[in-house]
Amino acid sequence: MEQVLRRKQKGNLARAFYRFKKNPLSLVGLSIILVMILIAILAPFIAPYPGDSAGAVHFKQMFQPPSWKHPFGTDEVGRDVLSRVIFGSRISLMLGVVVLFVAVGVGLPLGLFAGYLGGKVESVIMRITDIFLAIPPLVLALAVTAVLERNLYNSMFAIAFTWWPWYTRLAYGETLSKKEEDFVEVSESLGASRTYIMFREILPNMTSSLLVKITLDMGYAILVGAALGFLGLGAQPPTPEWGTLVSLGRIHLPKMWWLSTFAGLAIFITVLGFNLLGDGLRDFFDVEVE
Amino acid sequence: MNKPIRFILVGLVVVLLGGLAIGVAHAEEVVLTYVTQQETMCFDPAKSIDETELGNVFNTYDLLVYPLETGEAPVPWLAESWDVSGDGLTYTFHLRKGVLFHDGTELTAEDVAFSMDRMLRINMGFSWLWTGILDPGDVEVIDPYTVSFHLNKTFGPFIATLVQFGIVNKDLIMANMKEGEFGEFGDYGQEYLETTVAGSGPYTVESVELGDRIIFRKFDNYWRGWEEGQIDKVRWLIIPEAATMVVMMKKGEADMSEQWLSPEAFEDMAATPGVVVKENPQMQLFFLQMNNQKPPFDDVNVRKAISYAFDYATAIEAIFKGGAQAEGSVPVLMPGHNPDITVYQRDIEKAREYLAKSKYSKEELKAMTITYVYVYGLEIERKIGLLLADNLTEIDFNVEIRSELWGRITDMATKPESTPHFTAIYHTAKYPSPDSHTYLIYNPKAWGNYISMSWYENPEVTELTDSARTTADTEERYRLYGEVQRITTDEAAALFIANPVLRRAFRDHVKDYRYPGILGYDLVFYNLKIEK
Repeated sequence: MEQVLRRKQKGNLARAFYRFKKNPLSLVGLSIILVMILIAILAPFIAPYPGDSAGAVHFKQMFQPPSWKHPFGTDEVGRDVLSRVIFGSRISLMLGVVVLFVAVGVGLPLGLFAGYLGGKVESVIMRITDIFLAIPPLVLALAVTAVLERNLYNSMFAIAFTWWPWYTRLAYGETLSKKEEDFVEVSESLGASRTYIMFREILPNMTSSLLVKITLDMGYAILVGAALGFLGLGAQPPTPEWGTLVSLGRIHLPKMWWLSTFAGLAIFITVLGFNLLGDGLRDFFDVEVE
Repeated sequence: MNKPIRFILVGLVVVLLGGLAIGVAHAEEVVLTYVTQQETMCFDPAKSIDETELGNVFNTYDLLVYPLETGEAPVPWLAESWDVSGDGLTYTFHLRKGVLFHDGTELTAEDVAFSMDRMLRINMGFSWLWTGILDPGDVEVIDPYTVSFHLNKTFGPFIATLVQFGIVNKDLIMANMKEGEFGEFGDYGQEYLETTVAGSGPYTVESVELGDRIIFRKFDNYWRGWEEGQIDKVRWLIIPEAATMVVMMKKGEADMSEQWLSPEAFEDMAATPGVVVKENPQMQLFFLQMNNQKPPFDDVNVRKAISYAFDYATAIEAIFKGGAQAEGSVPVLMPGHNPDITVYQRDIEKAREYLAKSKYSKEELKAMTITYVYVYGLEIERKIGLLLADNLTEIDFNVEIRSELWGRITDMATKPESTPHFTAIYHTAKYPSPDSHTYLIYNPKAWGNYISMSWYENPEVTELTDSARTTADTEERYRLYGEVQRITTDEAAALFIANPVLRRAFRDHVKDYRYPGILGYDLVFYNLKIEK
């Protein structure tokens, strides 16, 4: 019996990989993300001028166009733009990870409770969730950061604050459909506790849709983070956050184009990478996510 | 030829001919386009405070006295002359006859008295200049062309402060007031003056689209008369993006730019044929307030160490790209500036010496985070922050840079506890007297706004600034202010950095631009001419 099951799983996995590979774009997405993660990890070793990502200033070499010495040029206080864009990857990826960690950590259990327990718990949780979902994430995040002191951590908090309801909704929907299934009813009749059923029976069965959503959301969270940075509400100088780099460079457009362009491209490529990968994963798991 | 194409061609010809006709009809009109990103909130002399609002007031209203030359006392204007009583408490002004408001009525002493009462009662804008000096009702109408101001106490810079006192048309305001908190005066016409003017200045407001544009039209009966080449119509456009403004200047779609563009943008424009960038020294101080009540800045040795650690030369050459290093709080061009004071230069050895004398140990200082707060969007202030943080790492300080909206900074300024260690501040002369750069910074009576964020307190300086205010003799007054400058620089009350230059870009056909040293006065379009 077990062997049959395992073989069936293996067949599923093979089919999934086939679907994943059939779409070359998802491989592109995967490679982009892997490269980005590598760049972020190895930043201090590959950035030509690591000091430029922190406090250093070199007023003697301001606004140099791209050259061999500075492939992305230098900025308004003479720092190497390439080094700053490389270090920026750490901030954007960290922002995405932290935001989704918090959003999933808060949103998921709430969705499970609402879906499985039902009744008043469900009404309270889901109505609060609806209120949050009614406000566009960027607007809500702007409001939150405006109240708090301006820094990177507060902007992460603000984005997470707007993001959890999506996971509540997802977990709620999945729980509703899973709780009527045989394996849940079997566990219930065997006397398993509610916590056990929610977290050991239902939760593992929604991993695939979760993974797809998280991957897609990484891109969006990074984008919202960059938007906050662009508006000056995120990372403070001298932190090389991509959105901030684009924003600070734009006053020198069009002449000093290299200030904004490369950071903008970095945002674009990363978000694209996560989207392609997310699409690929969706095919891989064969699930539907809004 | 098929039908639609023919229609389009006919349409094009009609449009071209129409455009030509309009062009011919307006060929005589001299038009100037000014671009800025700062929005105008009102046309009210009692409420105007920032550069664009002041510029609007100086174009559309008139003043008793006028600051014609940088660093000199204001000259008679609407007031042809004035007498001061022996005790220095009563100023009697003799008004020019035949000055007309835009509606054709004559400007008289009644309007002057009404304007000052209105200014003091609304209690916004620059009314703080006369707080404690004048109360509503203190201005007496002697006859239609004579008016007396009865001061509560002697106030040396009184005439100088009148450059911020625009005269409004009493009858027009009274006819257009709404319900409000001022009893028989309703709202004092505040709502009316949000979108229109009630003045006698060289220009009237033809139309306003808030946040987009203002059209000024010349007032034919202006008392100073008009000459060939002066500007008939001003298009004042609000352009939110700096890059757009630069492109408009380069392409000739704008004739005159605001002063807040980056030095790099001015360099870029100056390199374009047809564009001229004019630089003028101004009575402006750029400094970093150091909160004297927040550790470790409560220790004079720490403040002096920082004053020796900062790289002034780089700030002036690479960040401001011009201007002069500040010599104390009073700008170099200001009458009454004292040249015999300590001017700090970068000297790391000296900085370390003073740190060694500090009551704080090296470890204590290293453990503190020093905050530097600047106005969000001001590039120069951000770069100064980066330079400061870099300089101070050499004496083991840990500086955190943070941007805030202006409104938030003025909130912080109300209490020493909420005021950060460093705050970047521009303080431009609003009236030509050292009072604005001493009393307002150092006297506890003026505490609570962005100008006094150093929370500096020294009984001797308080006494000196108080008595300077009540000294009528100019030379003696300047001596007292000079003493204040000596003490406050010696104690490094703040980090005095620069007296920046003011830059504006012009298309090269715009002539006769001049800047009298006070914010907003160089936007007086009456002074400009366009060469054909």
